[in-house]
This record gives sequence, C-alpha cells and structure tokens, in this order.
Amino acid sequence: MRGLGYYCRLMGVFVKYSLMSALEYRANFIAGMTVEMGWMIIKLLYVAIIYKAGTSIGILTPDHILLFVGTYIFMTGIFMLYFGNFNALPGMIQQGELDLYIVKPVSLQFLVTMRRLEFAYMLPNLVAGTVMIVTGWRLAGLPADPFFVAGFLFFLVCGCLLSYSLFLLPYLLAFWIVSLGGIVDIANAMWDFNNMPSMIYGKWGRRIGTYVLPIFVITNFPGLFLMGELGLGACLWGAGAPVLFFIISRRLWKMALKKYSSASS
Amino acid sequence: MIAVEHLRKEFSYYKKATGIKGSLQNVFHRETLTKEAVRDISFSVEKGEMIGFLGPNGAGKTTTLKMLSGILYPTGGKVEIDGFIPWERKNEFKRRISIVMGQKNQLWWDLPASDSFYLNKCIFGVDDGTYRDVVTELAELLDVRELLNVQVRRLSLGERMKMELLAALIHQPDILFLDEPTIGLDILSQKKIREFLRIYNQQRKTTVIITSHYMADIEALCRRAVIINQGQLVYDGQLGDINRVLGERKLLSVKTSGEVNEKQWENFGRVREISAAGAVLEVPQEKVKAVLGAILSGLPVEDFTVTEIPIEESIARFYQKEVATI
Amino acid sequence: MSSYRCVFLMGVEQALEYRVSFFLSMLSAVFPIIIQTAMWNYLYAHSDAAGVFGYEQGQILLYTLLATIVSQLVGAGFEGEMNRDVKMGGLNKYLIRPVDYKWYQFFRFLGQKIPRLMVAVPVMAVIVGVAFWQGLPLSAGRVLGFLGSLILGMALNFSIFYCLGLLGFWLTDADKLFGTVGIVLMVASGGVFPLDIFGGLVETVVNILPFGYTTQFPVNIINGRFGWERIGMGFGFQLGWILVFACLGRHMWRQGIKRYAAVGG
Repeated sequence: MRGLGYYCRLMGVFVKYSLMSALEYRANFIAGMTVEMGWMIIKLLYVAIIYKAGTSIGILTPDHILLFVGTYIFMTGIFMLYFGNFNALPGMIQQGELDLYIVKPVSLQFLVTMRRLEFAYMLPNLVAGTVMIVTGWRLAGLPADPFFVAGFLFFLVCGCLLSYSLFLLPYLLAFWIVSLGGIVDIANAMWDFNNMPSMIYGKWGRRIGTYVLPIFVITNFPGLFLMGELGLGACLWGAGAPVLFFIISRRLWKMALKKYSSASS
Repeated sequence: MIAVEHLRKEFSYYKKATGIKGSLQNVFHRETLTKEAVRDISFSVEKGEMIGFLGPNGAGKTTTLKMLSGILYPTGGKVEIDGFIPWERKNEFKRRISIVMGQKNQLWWDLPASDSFYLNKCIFGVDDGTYRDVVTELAELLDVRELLNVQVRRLSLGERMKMELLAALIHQPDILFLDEPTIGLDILSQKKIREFLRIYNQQRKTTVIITSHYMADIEALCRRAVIINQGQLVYDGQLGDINRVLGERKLLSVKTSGEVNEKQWENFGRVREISAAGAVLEVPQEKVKAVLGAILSGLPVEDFTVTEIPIEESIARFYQKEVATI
Repeated sequence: MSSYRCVFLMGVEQALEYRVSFFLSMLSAVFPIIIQTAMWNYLYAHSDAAGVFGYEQGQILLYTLLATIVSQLVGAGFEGEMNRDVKMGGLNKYLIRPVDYKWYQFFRFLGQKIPRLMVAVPVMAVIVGVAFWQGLPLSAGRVLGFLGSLILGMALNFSIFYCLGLLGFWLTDADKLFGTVGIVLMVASGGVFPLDIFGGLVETVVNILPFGYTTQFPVNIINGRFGWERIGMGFGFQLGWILVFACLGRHMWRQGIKRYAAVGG
C-alpha cells in the first residue's frame, strides 16, 4: 500500500484527463450538464411544494428542508462524478478488460472505480446544492461557528464515503451474475429516497433506512448535526457506518477478484 | 529466472442460464463442467532469453501467459519468477513485469498517447528524468516521435500498437509478456515491431515471452520455441531443430519436359504436388541422393531443387494430436 | 426432437429473464411514487393542503399513481430515429415510396404503444377500481372522457415530438437536445407533479401551454378534479394544439425537405 499522497496525485491525473477528454466533445459536455439540470428541476419541485404548503415536517421548517434537499443534490453531484465507472464495471468484467489493470502496482478498486470522472453531471448539482445549503442554513438561523461548520463538513465527507461503498455493492454482483438486469436499477432508485428528509417515512421506514440500509445517513446526518438533533449514538453511527461499509465493499471486492482470477479464461 | 513446474489450469463452468432467474436455479441445482485449459506444463526461461510460445487457437497460450503475469490463479503447479509467485501480486513483482495484449488496449482513447504514458509513470512511480529518457529513446526506436501528441483515436492500428508497447515499457520491466502483439497489423507495421523487439531485447536483456499466429514473428525473433497443444507441452527446444525431431525430410521439386503420370512419381516418394510440368516429392533425408539419381536417369528432367520443409508446416504437425506423443 | 425442446426452453428462459428484468425495472419506477405518497400523506395530515393546492387528498394520491403511467403511454421516443433519418439519408427510402413519412412514424408510434397499453390498462383499471371503492365519484362519462383525452394526448405529444425531430434539418446537434427537452417536457406535462398546484400565474400558464394537455389533463378527468365545463374547455385546447403542431410540422417538413434536397441528403 502506498501513501495518501500517491493516490491524491493519481486522482489529480484522473481529474485532468477526464476534463481534457470531456472538452474534446464540448457539445456532449453541455448536453450532459443540461440533462442533469433537467433532473434537478424535479428534485427542486419537491422543495417548492414544501414551501407552498408552508408546513413543518416534524421539527424541520421549510428552510431546514431546503438545507436537507440541498445536501441531497450536492451528494448527487459527488456520486455522479464517479458513478459511470460503476456502470462500466459489468462490461469490463465480461470483456476481460480488468486484465490490463490487475498487473499494475496500484489498488485495482481505486483504478477501476475512479478512472473516469464526469464533471458535466457533477457541476450543476454541486453549484445548486451549495447555494441551497448556504441559503437554508442562513434562513433557518442555524449556528455557523467553526465547530458546526467542521461537523457539517465531517458528516458530508462521511456521506461521500458511505454512498461510494453502499452503491458499489450491487455492481459487485456482476462478478457472479452475467446480467445484472434490474438489480442495479432498484438499488440506484433507492438513492432518490433522500429527496425528502427521512422524517416523512414514518418510524420504521426511518429506522431501516438509517441502520439497516443506511441511505438516510448520507444526506440527513449533516443537517441533523447542525440542528443539534444528532445524539452521541447517532454521531458514532454516522462516523462508523461509512467505515463499516467501506470495509464490507473492500472485502467483497477481494472476494470478487478471487472469483475473477480463478474462473475467467 | 522463470521456472514453471507442472502448471495446470481448469475452468469449471456451470450449465447455466444467464441472469437472476438462472442463478436462482443454480442455487439448488447446478451441473458443473470442467475444461482443462492447461495441463501439466513445465519449462524454464533464462534471463534475457526471447522465447516463442506457439500453439493453435485454444491451446492454452494466453491462459498460461495470464498465469505467468499473475492475472489468473492456477489450479495446480508452481511458477516462480525472480523469487516471486506471480498470483500473489506483490507490487514489487508487478514493477518487474509487463504484459501487452494485441486485442486489448490500455491507452486513453481521446487523449494523446503521451498522457497515458504519464499515467503509467505515476502509477509505477518512475522518476521524471528516467521517464523522459525512456520515452525519448523508445519513441525514436519505434519511429513515433511525431505522433506522441496526437489523440489515440486518430492513430492507425499499427501506430496504436506501437504506443501500447511503449506504454508497457515505461517502467522498464525485466520481463515482457506479449500476447499476439502483431495481430491485425499490416506487413510493414509487423516488421517494424519485430525489429523493435529484437533491438530492445538485445540492448536491455529483457526477457520476452511472445505468442503469435504469425510464424514470421517467431522466426525473426526467437531461437527457442515452446509449443503447446490442447493444454500440453509438445515441444521445447531450438526452433531450427524442429524438423530433426519430426524425422528429417526434404522437399524435392522436379521440372520435367514431358508429362509424367502420378503412378510413376509415387515410385520415388510421397507426392505432394503434381502438374503437367513436374512434381514436388517428400523424401527422407538419407534417401535424397538415391532418389535423385533414379529420377535423373529415368525421367525427362529439366531442373530440380532440394529444400527444407517450411518450419510453419512442421509446427502444424505438432498441432495434430497424434504427434503429441513424440 | 431434443433440439426443438432446447430451442423452446431457451425461448421460455429468455422470456422469463426479460420479465424478471422488466419487473425489477418497473419496481424501481414505483419508488418515486412511494416517496411522493409519503410526502402528500404527511402534508395532508398536518396542514390545510387541500386548500393550498386545490386537490382533495384522494385526488392528489390518484394523480400520483396514474401520472407516471399516463406519461409513459403518451411518451414519444422516435425523435432520435427521425434525427438519424434526416442526418444519414435514411429519409431517401421513404421519399421514393408512396408513403407519407409523418403517417409512417405515427402508426409505428401507435404500434409500439400496444404492448404497453396491454399492461397499463388493467393496472389503471385496478387503481381506479380501488379508488372508486374508496369513494371516488366515478361515472361512465368520466371514464370515456379520460380514454378520449388519453388518445388525443398521444396525438398531441406525437405532433410535438415530430416537430422536435424535424429540427434535425437545421441543427447539427439536435439529438443532444432530446435528453434535456424530454425531461423538461415531462415535468411541464405534469408527469411528476400536477403543476397547477402552484396556483396563480403558474396555473394560468400551465393551462394555456400545450404540454399539460398530454398528461395532466387526462388524469384530472379521471380523478374527478375537473368539472364538465373545464373538461369541455380542455378538449378544445387539446384539439387546438394538435392543429397548431400539425400545421407547424407540415410547414417544417416542407422547408426542411427543400433544404434536404438542396444539400443532397
């Protein structure tokens, strides 16, 4: 294992190359951005409805909800940045394209899942998400001292790691099953549950979504922390779940690779 | 340097429908079939050697190469390369080897090849100075200096292959595995790549194992050949000795002024070709003199030549199963 | 005999495989409905949502269930092929034959809807049946109005996307627009939420623009939101817009084909 600096440098190269490739086809880049903005309109409609109704959801005023949905849109941007690599994985396995990457002295999982980055999909989400987070934060009158900002950013980073680990899992099935069919469709559709704060799903929905399949942790915890609504246990889970699921994804990846190395031709 | 002992690889596969439904069925009932891709292969390679790996399609060449480079786990047997076991995939080992597959590419399609080189530089941790020297020197040797900044998608197939080779050599490996490096290329590109490999091997003393369908590749580059068929090793030795192993025979081409019928030719040896103007006979080496004398005195001969059986043809005979027992 | 059996079983297997995939994909389309239903239930339970949005709770829930299906039924999807025909000279084979390109595309569009209709109609019947049993005021007139407006909605959406496809005569990158336009029009047609919930200016604009008449209008007939007068007016708008886009399409086709002949296709 090489150090963090080594992987940061590689990440830098991927960023540069992905941007250069994208700019080769400018029309595609712009089209990608506008499509992503189209999807964002749908996400924003939810917020518009909440504001129109003017009702709080539990302890969340519409301003809080703006912050939560902003976090969701921001996270969507981060996820879309590398999501194309997940989608390409089943094809790479079938075509045996992993062969040329296995022989390189670098983490194969890193190489395969971070190689191509889609800035066209990320940018609109990142910009809109940031604006919504900042606006919601201000309007709701949430504390903005360094402690809370740091905590918010910490849970944001945790959410990034968790979404990477959690949503990689269904794609790893491609090492065993030839056609993933609708499995990944379902998994990806789950992402949209975060379009609304977890409060609207009722007690059991919220528990399952937080502790069993922790999708709610990804976009709800940063906001809940700001509101002082995250108890110590939840804080620990918010920091621990990403680590836990990252370890699971690493384990499964290694199993999958063993399978690839002994079964393929 | 490379020692392969009793290497085996079996693939088990299920008679299975694809997809979820099929997989669910397989949970309860699966019929396992086994294919032996490589069975009991042993050989060794010295440092700096360049050996040709020959065999018909599906003989197990690529599978063996993948085990040597650590991509696949074997079912049995041992491989040791410079004290490393390939499939443990230690980074230290990966830095010493490189593999190029004619059918797969590692270059970024929309970027100049030099960018892909740079990525490999970062991955392998090659320092700046060495990197610059290697690229300059190899680009010169491969005659692609002007193409380094052209997007890969604009390159011809031959040029792209040269770039793949260059990319694979950025970290100056001790051992190079080449799987069909000239496949689909035009004659000129093939020649150029051959020439490059020959010079590179001479200068760097890099050990090279190469598989190819084109005999010309192997004949130009390798003194030693390893032939496998149906997963088994059928020949390991000097390329030039292959004919001797098969029992030395010569080809006798005779031109006649008048037509000679087939029956008559058959008295002299095995007839391989026949026409109104002559025939080609296959004759054991020790009988060449006698046969030639008989023909010259008995037939209206205008001209004749004696040649070796082409090596390609000899090798093809190894591919037939009955020869596998030699 | 055994080879026939093999082929037969393979066929069955493929059909099943396809169905499993299809089923799972359908399931993922259900997720947004779950999210929206959870949101509406919460809002209607905790505020005067009926007064704010102008929909009764039953009406909005029925809308949520039916809009996705109707949106699917009226949806186009031939614009990409039209663009290729225009760009790659595929148009030639229609020009030399005694067929009208527009009608060719229209009947193909209808033909492709048949399998969907066979799934969608029973599903909608069950949904509406349950709603009726729960107290939805339903009459034969409304059902007929719904079916009629659905057919006109298909025709309208066809006319709109036919014009969009013809843009290929003038724009080099027309196909790059389709993704974005598709999403925006789906939103504008009320395929996600009924846009008239926002009231005021938005409602007026939505009622004048053609897009709502492909999806929102039919659904609002069956869920009982529109009175007879509003329904009659809606049919007027539907027919009017069909006429407008048919004329526009005709004009675009004439101009486009001149251009096409001039550059030599």
